[in-house]
Amino acid sequence: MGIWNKSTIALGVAALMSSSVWAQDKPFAGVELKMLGIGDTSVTRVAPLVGEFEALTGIKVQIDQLPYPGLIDKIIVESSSDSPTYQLLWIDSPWVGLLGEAGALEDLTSRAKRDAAEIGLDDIVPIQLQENTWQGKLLAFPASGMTWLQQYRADLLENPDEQANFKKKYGYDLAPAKTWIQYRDIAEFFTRKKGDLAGGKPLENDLYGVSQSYSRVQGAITHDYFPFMRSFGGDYWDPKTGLCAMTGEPHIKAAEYMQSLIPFNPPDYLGLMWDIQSGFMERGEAAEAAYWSVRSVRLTNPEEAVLAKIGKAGFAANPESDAGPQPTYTGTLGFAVNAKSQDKEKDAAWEFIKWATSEKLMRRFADEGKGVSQFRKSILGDAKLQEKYPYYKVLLDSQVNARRRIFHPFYQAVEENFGVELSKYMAGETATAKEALTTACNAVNTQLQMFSVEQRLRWINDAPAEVLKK
Amino acid sequence: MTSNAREKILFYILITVVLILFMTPIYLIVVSSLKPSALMFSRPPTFIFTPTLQHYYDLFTMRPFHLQILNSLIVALGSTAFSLVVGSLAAYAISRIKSRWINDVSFWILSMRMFPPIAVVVPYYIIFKSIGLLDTPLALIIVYSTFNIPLTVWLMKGFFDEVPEALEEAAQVDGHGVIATFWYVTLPLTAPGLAVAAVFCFIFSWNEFLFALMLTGSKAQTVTIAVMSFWSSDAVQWGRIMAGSFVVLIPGVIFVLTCQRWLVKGLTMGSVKG
Repeated sequence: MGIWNKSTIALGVAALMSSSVWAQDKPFAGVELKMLGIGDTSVTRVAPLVGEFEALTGIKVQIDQLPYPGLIDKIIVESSSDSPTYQLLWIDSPWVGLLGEAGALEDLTSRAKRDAAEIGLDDIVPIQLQENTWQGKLLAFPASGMTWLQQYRADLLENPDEQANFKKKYGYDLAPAKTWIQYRDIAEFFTRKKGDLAGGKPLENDLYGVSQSYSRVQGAITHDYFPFMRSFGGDYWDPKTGLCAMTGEPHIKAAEYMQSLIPFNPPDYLGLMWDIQSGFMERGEAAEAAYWSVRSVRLTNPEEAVLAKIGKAGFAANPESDAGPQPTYTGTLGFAVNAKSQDKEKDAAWEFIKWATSEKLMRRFADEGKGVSQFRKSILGDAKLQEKYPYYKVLLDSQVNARRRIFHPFYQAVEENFGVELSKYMAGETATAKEALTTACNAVNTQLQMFSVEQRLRWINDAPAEVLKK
Repeated sequence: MTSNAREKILFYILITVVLILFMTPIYLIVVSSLKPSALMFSRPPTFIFTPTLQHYYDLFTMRPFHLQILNSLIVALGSTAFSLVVGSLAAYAISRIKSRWINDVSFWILSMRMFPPIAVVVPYYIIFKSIGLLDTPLALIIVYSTFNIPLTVWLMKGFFDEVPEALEEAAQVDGHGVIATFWYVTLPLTAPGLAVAAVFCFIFSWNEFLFALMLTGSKAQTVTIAVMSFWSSDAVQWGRIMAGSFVVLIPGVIFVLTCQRWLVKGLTMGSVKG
């Protein structure tokens, strides 16, 4: 055999060996995935890094960012196709019931259990996994974990003059509110006009005591009302019938409490959507506000919030009502796999989810100051990061006792009807909270009554996540 | 003061009021697009600030906005051109054919615009998916044309009815065939109608949201989706939305100005009989 022939054989063997190593290392090389996402931080932080994932696995991922309004409809249409365009889906946790019932999402339980060590399953705040389950099955994986928490102007609450004046007026020490009554007292105390003093300095703009969401657009008011309702000891559903039960005493108290905060809110309170609401905190124009933690990181970043330059943000768990301590109200933004995808695509999509939600990547985002609301205990509990992001500790501690937000397949009907009726009540168009809540509940129940009691009870049953079972 | 002068003053006051009414939204779009995010919802509204082009920069660097504009132009111009060709030919036929069924045919064409668009989203999705047209401008051109053609037919029928048939007969006596008569005699006389139809078709196709959301991904995404995609679950990035809205306004304005010569005539033509 000549030297050339030997060399050719040697090269061939080497090429075969290297390709088999390649196939072993990158079993999904060449797979192309598309993700139906939005312009949320949980997606925008990952999107520029998909090249790194491709280099690592050989899987090419293309992320399309679509508007939040209409995205769930697009997902539903997408899941009706036997050969879907999108294998990866961005999911807001209230959608899990609707999409789960439609069979649109792949059950990730067995994959998560199999790869528990690799993904650090024990490192994830349990409620954040529960948020993504439907009938106990894990249908999405957390990419951004949220709680509804109290945010306040720490520079004002810690000011000695303000503290002295507050104590003189209300008879107790000024501190982050422990009860909703204190929360309202603080709101009243700090409602001031332009030119008045606050923290010893004349105000350049009006200062509002509080900033809560009262807009009916996209059911925004319900994003504040439901946590209040839970905090007052209420629940969405009647456990015996599975029908809407938000007409009881705690529900009325919560609505009336929200109404009592109106004088301390900006005058156009009915237009306050999520980001307009949090914008008042970010500009330092509100003394306190309770809202989702996805925007908390902005308060510590001078590029995104004036408050970081003119004052200091503080964070605390939600106050309590006279119903006593209640579980923290949570939410999750997650990544899911389209159930209609091919098997190899599903496995490749799971590889992407593992990478995009990994501790390594999440820590990198936190180190770089990028605003993903974290869901891993190791990151939320990191002392250095807690110093950088003071709300991490609140997130970690408050989720020990937590309960997920609405996950019912009819959540849209609930948000729409309660959004309109509560907003009308807050605007004074409806005389009483009872009337507003009854109208909204009846509208929801008209739809639910078409289904059997067994069906309705199944929909409200928050079966424990199988993935969390030891 | 003469009554003439008074009328003039009143006229200018009225013009000013109308201008303020119509220009205020555009002014607010421009101002908001130049405003730093932190001041977006400050109370009272801030009008004096250091303007920033950051939102425009983000618009073109964070997303392929120039490609999305191109997609919108291809879709809007494509659907407009197709609808004008098919619609005006159909309208001419309906105007000239004498048949007891012609009114029923006209109504059937008009009924295409009566069904709610959401009802056909899934069928369209499945059809385009199966023939490989999903996420292509052609899919949107086809869908928009199904809405634009009935409008064009009904608009143009009125204009063709106004053209005396004697003119066409004279042209035919001079040796023109049916097509030549239509092209050289009838169509030029209905140019204002074509301009009106073109503007309506273009604006509908340019602004449409539902089908663009459902039938496109990243390749054929149009500007309406691109602008709205700055609405996420945790924030509505108004600065970028406003910057996008202003950029999106420009092609529409240019198109309408181009058609303006015929537009006023077209909008009023046929409104008075005799």
